[in-house]
Order: sequence, then structure tokens, then C-alpha cells
Amino acid sequence: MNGTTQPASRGAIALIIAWIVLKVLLIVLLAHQDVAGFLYAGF
Amino acid sequence: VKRRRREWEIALGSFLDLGFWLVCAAVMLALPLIPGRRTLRFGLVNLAALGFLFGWQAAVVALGFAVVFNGVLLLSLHLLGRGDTHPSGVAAKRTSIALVGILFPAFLFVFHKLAMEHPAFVASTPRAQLIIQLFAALSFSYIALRCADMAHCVLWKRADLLDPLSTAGFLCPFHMILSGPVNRYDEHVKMNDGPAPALTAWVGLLVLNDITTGILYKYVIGETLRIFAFGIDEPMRAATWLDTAILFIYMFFDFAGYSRVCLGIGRLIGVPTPENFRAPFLASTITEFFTRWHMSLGAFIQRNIYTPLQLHLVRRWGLRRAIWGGLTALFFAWIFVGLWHRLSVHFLTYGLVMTLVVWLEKLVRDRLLKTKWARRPALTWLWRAAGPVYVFVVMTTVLHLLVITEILRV
Repeated sequence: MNGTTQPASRGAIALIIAWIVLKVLLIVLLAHQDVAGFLYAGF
Repeated sequence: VKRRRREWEIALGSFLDLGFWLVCAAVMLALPLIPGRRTLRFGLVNLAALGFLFGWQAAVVALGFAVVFNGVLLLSLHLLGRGDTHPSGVAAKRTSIALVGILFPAFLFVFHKLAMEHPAFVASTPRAQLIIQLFAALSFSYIALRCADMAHCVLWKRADLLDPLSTAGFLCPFHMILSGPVNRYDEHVKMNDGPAPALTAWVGLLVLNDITTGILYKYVIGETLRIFAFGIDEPMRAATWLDTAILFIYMFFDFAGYSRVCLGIGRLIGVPTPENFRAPFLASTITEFFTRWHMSLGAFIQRNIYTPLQLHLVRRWGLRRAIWGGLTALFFAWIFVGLWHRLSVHFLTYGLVMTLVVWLEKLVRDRLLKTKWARRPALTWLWRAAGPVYVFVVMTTVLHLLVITEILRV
């Protein structure tokens, strides 16, 4: 189901965690209409 | 009805709402605590989730529909069983196949689509509103597809018939209720073959990766693109080809983001949820594009329309006319894809144009494969680079000329 479920190496895990943290930051910062609106107005 | 509809819309588009995620967590925690087969456990918990998210009426409608559909399948199985020994079996078999495989889902599906095409009639008749709301919920396109897949598996491929609670879990899973993906009946039944996959730290990481990618696609990239291209609170428009090109990219981030979140939730709760997008803009032909865009619909068409029809026609017409069997199957598959989106001339034309494009690609590919120069590595690399541009231009042009206005109307 849904692609691989095999564990990966430590490096790959660290990379995925960093990627997830970055995405969460982006979501918290940008996934809100007011923030996007502010950026739009600034742009 | 309006309030109810608004509640549905709020609840359905609420991946940013904490309530939705609390329900997901509750489903995940409750599933191992309940005894019984996994499909049954999910069916039960799913009804509770539907009740929390969309109101108890939604759960009752989902269960009621599953009971009726299971009843019709049981009746058909009974008729088919008699058909094995009784001389009048052939007629019984044809009747039940027509009843279940075609008429029942098709009736609900067409009803829903007609209601979409004639909103003025629905709005002017209060009683019609209630009835049509009910039918619209029952016959929602994805539920109709799941019904057809289930009927095909149970009646043709002799898959086990699930109990009504499990059927409700398959037909109306709370995390796939808005825009699919189209889950498979045979995969859902396989849930009963073994214990739920363990939620290890690695799987948890994959789940987080799916969900964050999906939310980033839908609410950050998609929404930012929409706001920058069309403005805040402005309706999306497709006045120029460029508008349609932006909308095409927006549709990808919106739909692929939604589908990726569903995939993550499916992994989290151990319910088979198919992958729906795999980098479609990297495809170098239109044919390849549709193996990467809305993949679960493509797989449904292949399982339930294209392959069975092609096999049937090749058997009937003989191997010498196999190519015509393939073309006919392709034609019906694309007409279905077109009309599945909406019952309109524009979408019918879209189906016809796509049949033509895919068929032309096949002819060119077959012709090129016979020549030596076309197989040179340099040319292959060139096509891998230029192909995505060709796909994007052709798809945007077809969307712009035929269907984008109707898509925006939804």
C-alpha cells in the first residue's frame, strides 16, 4: 500500500525530518489568507 | 438546506481545522480497541467520524445507502447462483448485471449530474431541493465509481461481499469523501487478511511527510499562486490562455495537495488509500501524463472499462481486428471520463479530442519504434526535455478551448 514502508538510513531520516520542519514553518507562516494577503499587498 | 450545505463545505475543506485532525486521531486510537474484522471496525468508526464531521444525518444516509446497495448485490448474487444450474439462468444473469452494474449507480450518477446542470429548477422547488440533496449526496461521483468497482469485483471477479457497515466504510470513507481518490474494493477487502500495519516511527515520519506536503501544496503554493494571479476574494477567471495555464498549475497543487493529505491519513489509520498524482508535469506524452494525473481514476477506468471491453472486443472480432478493439475501448473510456466530469457537450468533446490525441500518439510511437534513428539516446534525451513542454501546451490549449469555463463554474 502507498509505496515504500521500508526504513531508510539515518541520513535519509534526518533529511526527511528537516524537510518536514521546513514545511511546517512555511505552513505556519503562509497558510493563512491574511499573511498571503499581506504579501500580495506588499508585492 | 443552505445551512446544511454550508456546514458540509466548511467541514469538507477543513484540513486546516483542528477538529478534523482530532477526529483522525480518535479514529486511529479507536480502531485497535474494537474487536472484529478490520473492514467492520473501520466501517463502525468511520460512521462515527462522518457523524462528528458532517452531522448524524450523513452517517445515517451512508449506512442506509450501504444497506440498500448490499441488498441489491445479495439479490444479484442469488440470481447469479441460480443461473449456474437453471436453464433460465442466462436471463437472470443479464438482468442482475444490468440492474446492479449499470442501472443502479448510473441512475444515481445521472440524477446528481442533472441536478448540477439545472440549479434553477432545484432552487425553485423546495421539496425537490431536499430530495435532490439526498440523491446528490448518495450519487456523488466518487461514490458511484466505488459502487461500480464493488459490483464488478463481487459479481464478476467473485470477491467476498462485505457486510453493510464495512460497505459504508468503503463507499464513504471520511477522509476520501470530497474528491476521492477512487479506492479499490479488492484492496479494501484485503484489509481482513491480516493485522493492521504497525505504526512504527518510520511510518509515522512518512505520514507526517505526506500530510505536510499535501497542506503545503494546497494551502501555501496553490493558494499563494491563486492570490498572486487573480487577487484576494476575486473569482478565478480564464479570459486568456495564460490564465488557463496558471489555473492548470493551481489545479495540480490544489488537487494533488488534497490527495496527498488523504494518502497520509490512509497510511495513519491503515486504510488502503491509492496514490493520485506522481509528478504529472514531468510526463513527456499526453498518454504518460494521464498515468501520473488523477491516477486512481485512470486505474478505475482501466480495471472496469478499458481492459474488459478491449478483451471482449478482441475475442469477438478476432486478433486481426485487435487494433479496432483497442480504439473502440479507448473511445468509450475517454467518453466516460469526459461525461464523468460533467454531462455536457463540452466535456463530451473533451473526451473525443483526448481519444484522438492518445490514439495519434500511439500511431506515431508505433511508427517511430520501427525506425532506427528514433531510438538514438540523444533523441530520447531531447524528447524527455521537450516532451513536458508539449504536454503542458497541448493540455492547456484543450482545457482553454473546451472545458475551463465549466470547471470554474463548479
